[in-house]
Amino acid sequence: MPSKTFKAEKSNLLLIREFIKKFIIKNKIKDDLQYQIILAAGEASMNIVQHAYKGGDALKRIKVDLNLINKTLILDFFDEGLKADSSKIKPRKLEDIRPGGLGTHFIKMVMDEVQWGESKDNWVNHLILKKKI
Amino acid sequence: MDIKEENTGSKLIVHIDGEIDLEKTDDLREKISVIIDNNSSIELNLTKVTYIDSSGVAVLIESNQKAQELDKELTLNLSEAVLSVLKMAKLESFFKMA
Repeated sequence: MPSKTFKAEKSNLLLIREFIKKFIIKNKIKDDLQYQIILAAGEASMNIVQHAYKGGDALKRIKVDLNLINKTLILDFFDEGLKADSSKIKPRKLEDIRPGGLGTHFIKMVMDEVQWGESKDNWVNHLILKKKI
Repeated sequence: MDIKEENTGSKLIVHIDGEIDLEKTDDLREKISVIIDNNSSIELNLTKVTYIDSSGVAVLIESNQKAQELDKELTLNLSEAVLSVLKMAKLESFFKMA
């Protein structure tokens, strides 16, 4: 199970995406799904930096665990930022065109399951994204 | 992400390449805003953009809205990666294509 911890900074979003991209290429996930999964994972990482860490905090971390179990890709994101209130995390209506509110839409559109897991080992938030491949 | 400007006489083409994410969008927003202020016809050439996230899409929406408010022409030339994301957001017809 690949696992990597990153400093919670905007500049590391690219490194997080590259870490995930390497895993999905290694596991021969279909080309047409690769970009979508990287987009969803990128949005999840961005939400952590933007909201849990209010734009980033070099002293805090984001941990990403990657698994492929029974043809299901499982991405686990852990952070130690502000506690997320899942009841307030909603995509905007697409017809209400304005900047913002699309990240959650992209994640839900691409992934089969989006859920909050148990916080453990002093992490505050644990986001789980699953995709059958 | 790299940004280069090309003045064709009739319009300013802004060539943007690389990955557009939250790290880059503040800079991109500011540069495009100034370009819209100073030019009447602008094309954003995004054909070499390999990744764009929702923060990048937000900049495109803001830029389009600003251009409309100032009665400027803003067109987009898209890569497959950018087009696929705009389609996911049902925004492909919101923008004028070059």
